[in-house]
Amino acid sequence: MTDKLTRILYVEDEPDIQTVARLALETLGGFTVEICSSGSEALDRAPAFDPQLILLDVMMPCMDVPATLKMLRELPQFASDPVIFMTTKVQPGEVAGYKEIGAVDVIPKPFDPMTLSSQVQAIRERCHG
Amino acid sequence: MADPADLQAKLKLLGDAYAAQLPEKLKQIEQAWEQLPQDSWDEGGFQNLHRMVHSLTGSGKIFGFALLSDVARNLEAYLKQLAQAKTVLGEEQRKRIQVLLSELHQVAIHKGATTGDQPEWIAPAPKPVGR
Repeated sequence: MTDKLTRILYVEDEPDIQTVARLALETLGGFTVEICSSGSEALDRAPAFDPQLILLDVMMPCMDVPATLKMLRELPQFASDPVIFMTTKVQPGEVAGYKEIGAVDVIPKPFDPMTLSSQVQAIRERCHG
Repeated sequence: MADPADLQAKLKLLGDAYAAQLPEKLKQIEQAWEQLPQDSWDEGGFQNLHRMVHSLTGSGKIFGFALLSDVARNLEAYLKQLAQAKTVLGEEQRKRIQVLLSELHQVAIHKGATTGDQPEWIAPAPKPVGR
């Protein structure tokens, strides 16, 4: 049986978006959210936080998303954690490309704070389904 | 789990705060641009300008400033292109940046820096009863 989703790591550099996402995920989803502003910060804090799912903003300056994802996957406890990309670029070809490098799905930006929690939950359930 | 209306109320407060801060953000972008030297390449200064514009690109749409976000994206893309070249900006390049900065101000003013458009996920304010 899949354990209940409670801990989400969110990697996003924009403070205003961090605030909205945390509010949405914690208030409606009841999740515990750890926010990191960069890939390197995520790699530092993920082991202690032990997320069950990672939300990753694709368009952060100075961050190589595929490299960050690869390094996260090399940590044994995150080898199979679902990683959802968040991006404005959601054409079918682009989404296919993200999945090829390891994303389980994509949530378009700007996201709807009222449905973000349910979207995340639904994606996770599909992964474990 | 909280009431969705509670979240909407909090999000509206955040949106109002964002709109209220927008004039200052635009002013800081303008200052960052004006402080860049005209006769040399300032990597740190340019990256700072790019970061501030990137911030508007990312946050504008989520708070209802979709057009602002789009204009900021155009400017961000142009700045990124120039940052890769790392050369002193020519007259045409400076003019182009100035035009894009002016557009940024125009769309912010047009949307109303203190109100903005409400994004769809913010419920409209309830109508007063009995009027």
